[in-house]
Amino acid sequence: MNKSLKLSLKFLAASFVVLAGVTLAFSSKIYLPEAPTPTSSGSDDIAFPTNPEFKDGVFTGTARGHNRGDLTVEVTIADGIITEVVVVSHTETKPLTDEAIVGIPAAIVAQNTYDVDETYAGVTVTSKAIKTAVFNALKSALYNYKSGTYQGTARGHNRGDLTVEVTVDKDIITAVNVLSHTETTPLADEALIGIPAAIVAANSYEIDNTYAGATVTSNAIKTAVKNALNSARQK
Amino acid sequence: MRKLFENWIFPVISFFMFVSLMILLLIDFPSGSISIKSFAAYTLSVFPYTLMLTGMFIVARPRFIEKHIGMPKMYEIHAIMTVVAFFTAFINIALFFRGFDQMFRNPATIFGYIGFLGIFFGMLTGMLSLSKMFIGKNKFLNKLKNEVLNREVMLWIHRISGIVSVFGVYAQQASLPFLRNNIPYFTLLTVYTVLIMGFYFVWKIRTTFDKRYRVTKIYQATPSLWVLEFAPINGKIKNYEPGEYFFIRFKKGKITREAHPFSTSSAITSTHKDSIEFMIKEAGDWTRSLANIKEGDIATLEGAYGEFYPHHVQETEDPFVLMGGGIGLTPNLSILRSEIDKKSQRKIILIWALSYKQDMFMLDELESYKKVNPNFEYHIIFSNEKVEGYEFGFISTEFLKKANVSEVFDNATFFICGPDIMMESTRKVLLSNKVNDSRIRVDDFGF
Repeated sequence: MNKSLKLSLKFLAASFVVLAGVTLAFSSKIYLPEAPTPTSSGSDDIAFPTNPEFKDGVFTGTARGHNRGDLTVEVTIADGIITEVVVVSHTETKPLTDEAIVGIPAAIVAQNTYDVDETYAGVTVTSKAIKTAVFNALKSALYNYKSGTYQGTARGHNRGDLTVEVTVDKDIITAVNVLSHTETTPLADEALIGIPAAIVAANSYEIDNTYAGATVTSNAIKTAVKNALNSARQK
Repeated sequence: MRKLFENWIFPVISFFMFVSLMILLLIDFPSGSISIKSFAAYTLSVFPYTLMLTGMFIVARPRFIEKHIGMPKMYEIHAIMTVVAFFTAFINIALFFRGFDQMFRNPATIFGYIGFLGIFFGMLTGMLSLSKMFIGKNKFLNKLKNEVLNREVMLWIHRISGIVSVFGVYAQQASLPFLRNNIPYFTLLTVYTVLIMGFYFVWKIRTTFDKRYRVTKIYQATPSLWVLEFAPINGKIKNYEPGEYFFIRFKKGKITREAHPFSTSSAITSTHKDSIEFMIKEAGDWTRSLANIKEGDIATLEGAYGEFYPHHVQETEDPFVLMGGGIGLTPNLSILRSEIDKKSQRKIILIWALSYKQDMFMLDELESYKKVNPNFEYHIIFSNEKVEGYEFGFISTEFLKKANVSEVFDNATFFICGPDIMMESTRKVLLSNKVNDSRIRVDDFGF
């Protein structure tokens, strides 16, 4: 066998031994998940987005714990990442639940999601309550809209489609551009410029502005922006 | 024992870094608190990182280790470690891949992918154009390496990829608050990173601002062989042992700025006390560009590297058999010149295997050595052309008998340098004649 290949195989074997050794040495800290934990952990009003975008700040969430009492957590978000989770109050049974109360928040911070596999044997309800409380805190940390650029379409004046492109950054509408339309120019020109500017200024598509002689165009732009924002919606 | 050291010194460094980091990372976790998936994520990030860090240490050519294991072995280990780093990082990515839209979900994933791409391109450029280990005898890959890919460009991509891989993974770890806030772990990670990358950058700066040499002599000794002599612009020449090699990097002249390794043909002797001589065979773009070099051009010489002629061998009185294949004469000539300068009277047999008559030169010099040392003899054998007065064929037991080498099989030290196939076959001939392996010194230059 080629010498280099032989050495490569030896190195692979040694790497395996080292990795297995480390795994064995820390095996007491590792567990194999028995069953997947519920992803929404008791949520009933919203489906959590797959790639959530959070506001910075400290947010509080509560869930029902093991002894029919509330378990409350404080979740700190910095730069859009979960940086700290603290269980601030609970009625769980000590010291049985102590490890879960430290371990679950640590796992949530490590993986930057409430949806972690970690569950402590014997304290499943507490484990789930922490995740649910964090989930509830994160709901209030969500921006209404996910940052990005979105397109929306509405029916315009001449039975043609009017398409806009809306840019959102942390719930602020930073730009609205009409990409295509079949409106009558120059009649609709003022509305095509003025309505997008008014939406950006008001940070909302719900504005009173309309342009005389171009009411249908004005409303079509607002509806197209609304449709675009619907696809940006996180909550 | 020596072989064990050669093969395992760098892996052990890497494993040590990995294990120490994992201890600090995991020690504070409560019992049963880490899912197997999280554990895999930690392990498969830290492990390739320590391999890449060790790889950066290797490419800085630490001379204190190179002297013991040699450059080819260092680069071989470097290549193997990079491949393993790539595969472990790839497993990590595959386990946690949630779609392309999730690749940029936060700084940690972005830096993680940057690190992975660094490893990937580092491996790819190394495999395709720098290392001969993976290309082997494959005609297509050899053609790609020699005729399509520009070695200098690939080398730069390789270097930058290595730095990017380390930067990417370190930044990924720094982006994760739970790792950043684990002070012992993050401190150790930073210490390892700063030490190794610092060592690398210091080496890089030193090679850039290394002592400058001026070309004092350049001529073609044969149609395909250049002789170059360098003298320092200021001060004395670097100290080096016979048979060692330097990386020559031209700073001025119509030739690329890439450094290339060449054995010295000179030794620090009365004739070369202020200059260093190299014999270089035309074999590629760079060596062909030597035609553009003229006296007065400036270069740096990085080194010296190699351990072809160690002190414990120099100090014996045993016979020497110097065996050079073509340009492989060079380090042997360096040893020979050193011995002649010392007025050594030890038995020295020089075996020089050449392809064609036109490759033969410097016979006058070799003849003159016989007067200084009556125990010196040389024998030339041609493999591709019959030349009157010389043997024809390859180095064999019969030829070695005719060259009186068989008389010293028991007690001589053998120095072999030349093309891979010549070194391999010569070594086999010696071993078949019961020459002790520890007495055979091979100057493997294939990296």
